[in-house]
Amino acid sequence: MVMSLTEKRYLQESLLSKPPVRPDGRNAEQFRPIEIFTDFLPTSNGSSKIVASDGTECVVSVKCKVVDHAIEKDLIVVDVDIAGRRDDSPLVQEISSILNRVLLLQTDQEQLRLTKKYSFKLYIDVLVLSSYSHPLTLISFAIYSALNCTQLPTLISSKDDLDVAELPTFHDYDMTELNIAVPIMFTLAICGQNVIVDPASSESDVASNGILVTWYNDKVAAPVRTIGLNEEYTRGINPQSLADSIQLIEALAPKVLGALDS
Amino acid sequence: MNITDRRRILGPANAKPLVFDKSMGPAQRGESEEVSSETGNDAMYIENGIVGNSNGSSYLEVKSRINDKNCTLLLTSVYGPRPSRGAFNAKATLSVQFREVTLEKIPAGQLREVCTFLTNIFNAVVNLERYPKSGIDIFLSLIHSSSGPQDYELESIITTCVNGITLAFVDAGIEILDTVSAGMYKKNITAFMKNGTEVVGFWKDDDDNSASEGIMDIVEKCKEHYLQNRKTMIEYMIRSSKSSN
Amino acid sequence: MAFHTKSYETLYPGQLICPTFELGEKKEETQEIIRYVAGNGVAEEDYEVKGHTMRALTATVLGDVSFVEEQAKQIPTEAEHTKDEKEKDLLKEEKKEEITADSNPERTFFVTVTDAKAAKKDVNEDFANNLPREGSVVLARITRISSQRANVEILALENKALPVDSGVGSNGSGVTAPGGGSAAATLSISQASSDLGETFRGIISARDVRATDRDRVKIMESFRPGDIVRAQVISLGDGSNYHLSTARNDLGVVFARAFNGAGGLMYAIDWQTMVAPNTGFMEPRKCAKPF
Repeated sequence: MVMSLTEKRYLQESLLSKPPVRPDGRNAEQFRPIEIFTDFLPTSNGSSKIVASDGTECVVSVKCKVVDHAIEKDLIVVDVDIAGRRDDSPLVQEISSILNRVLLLQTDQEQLRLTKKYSFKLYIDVLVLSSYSHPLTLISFAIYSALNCTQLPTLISSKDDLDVAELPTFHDYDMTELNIAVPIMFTLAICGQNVIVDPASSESDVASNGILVTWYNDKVAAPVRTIGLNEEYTRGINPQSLADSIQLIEALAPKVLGALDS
Repeated sequence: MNITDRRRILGPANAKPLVFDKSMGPAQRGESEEVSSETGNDAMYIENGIVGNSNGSSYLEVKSRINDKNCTLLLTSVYGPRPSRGAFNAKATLSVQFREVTLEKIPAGQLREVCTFLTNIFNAVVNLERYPKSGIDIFLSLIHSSSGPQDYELESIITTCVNGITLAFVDAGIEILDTVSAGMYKKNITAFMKNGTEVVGFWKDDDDNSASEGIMDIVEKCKEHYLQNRKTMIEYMIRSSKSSN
Repeated sequence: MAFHTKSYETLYPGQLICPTFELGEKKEETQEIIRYVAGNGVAEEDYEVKGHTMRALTATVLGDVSFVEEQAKQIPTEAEHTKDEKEKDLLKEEKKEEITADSNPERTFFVTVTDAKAAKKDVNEDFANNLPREGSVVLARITRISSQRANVEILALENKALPVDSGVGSNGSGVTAPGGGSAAATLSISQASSDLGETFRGIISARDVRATDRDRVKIMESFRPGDIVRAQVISLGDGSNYHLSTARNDLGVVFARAFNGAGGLMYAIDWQTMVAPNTGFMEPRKCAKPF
């Protein structure tokens, strides 16, 4: 929704007040309700669909392939597609670059090891059907739930295939659950001294700055950085806000993960 | 629609035949700025205004204080403000283009991340209200970067970019709210304004000290580096404006 | 000591100049207030000093600061320019009396920082990168005419240094970076190439050509494509065009060639006629008063 200057000014003032008054009545540390459906695509190894209350909708599918890990080093590839945006637009490229790097850096690739020679390679396809606010948080939630419900074929041939060359063979119908720790990412908006989580599109439009925080293995991990939520109202922030936002995530992330796992 | 031909690059109206000048010989490094690395500062060489057709430009050579194999050469040019098309926009739009001119080592996606990160920093810094209906373009050409063990070190490149863009804006005479500069500590970068009281950009690419207390440490460490960088830049600016008068 | 009397070194972006106001001389009953208003090269920003937030002026370009006191509140008119010095002095004295009569006298200073480089180029005190804004006088070339309006491209701002690359395209005398520009980043290639070297564009609509007899203005008898026109910006207009006006004696065509550009340069003989000296042909134009 495009807002007039006056509307933006009003919204900005209310977000600057202490405590911030958000247009939908949430607290600073309150998320919008989301709905997650998992494992609904019959042809992929794992899938999830996430729907946010503002209509943002995102589908993630995980597929696997057996590769020789001596040749292919990167065992996770993320492909992002956002409806209404070109593949070479800055937002799409930025999001897919961040996701690729985070998943490659943080996840334990040993978990994908099949035999001494072969590994599973995961192809994660992200499709954002409609997006109204910065979709990174939702995408990372969706990837998290998709990877956590991913079933990979069970290996029946021997694990050691260096001496006797042998292609891995799989059980006809048994599947093994993929057990891998997945990082999740949060975008926070900073308005003056206030830090608010899960900014709606109207809030993003007037935020002073945005911060991206990654959460992995029960602690804040890389990357942490400022991201632009708008062009008009971007300003410098107090260094304390950085610490505040990380504190906020330290308090909130376990709860969010609890909700995603249940 | 217009009378003038816009499809071709026409020769200028006052074109003159091509005449080759005698070569000038290597440029003198006498008036250059070389800060000694013994004091623990980065060695920085700055030269402004060497891209003739841009509004403002800066050339930076930075040799890291910690790792003497780490060297970054960056050329920044600023074009505009130029008219932008489309809807009325009361403020200027910034765009940052990054290019490696010699060896292409950095993946394209990561370059995009860097560009958006830099755009976001300078959206907060440039006095955009002064330039309605226009676009300001920043072109970064990375001439060389090395960092010993790795092929490149993205963090020192980004730091150099922030400093280079600020210098190019000053050279172009485009209004910026502060002499913004960035400081680096390990794999963390913080760009500051207003003498280190405000953060305009933060980039962290390793897991160390990620807790909320650790972050403040990192910011402090970056600030030391920022203050050094900013001092060097301001000294250069003041000196160059004095010598030109 | 008041800030406007201090001497400053060369300023760099981000350097604080002065607060937005300060208290000046204190007399028995009155307290003088000095205000500082941000001009070119200066921005008003919030700063935190000892826990208090205060507004202060900072430099935004590299250069030297100047304080210019605001003279009269009235709108400057044509007549004022021609007033001789004596009259001006008189005016000032009148003003002084007014001030002393006021209970709390206020003085307002415009603070500007002048780009060192632009100053070197012998142009007015304004620095290089000012874009056209309401009220500024520009020189423009007519690109297209219709019965309702004339389209122009803005070539230069009067009394202002031209930035190296702006305002001149590939069809001008400057050099531009092919494929560069915000167009290359934001638009597709096909659009970008036709946008190469674009200048700021403007519209002079028929009712803004002259101040009198507006309904009977014929664009054809006022401008021709290729004419160089001196015009004033009346509004920033829409996304692509500034709105310009020539409804003043000193505004209008300054250079024109006869026969739609085929003939020689013409000279104005009155405000609506120009003549080509070697053929004696006359053509209608809305001319600017040359002196």
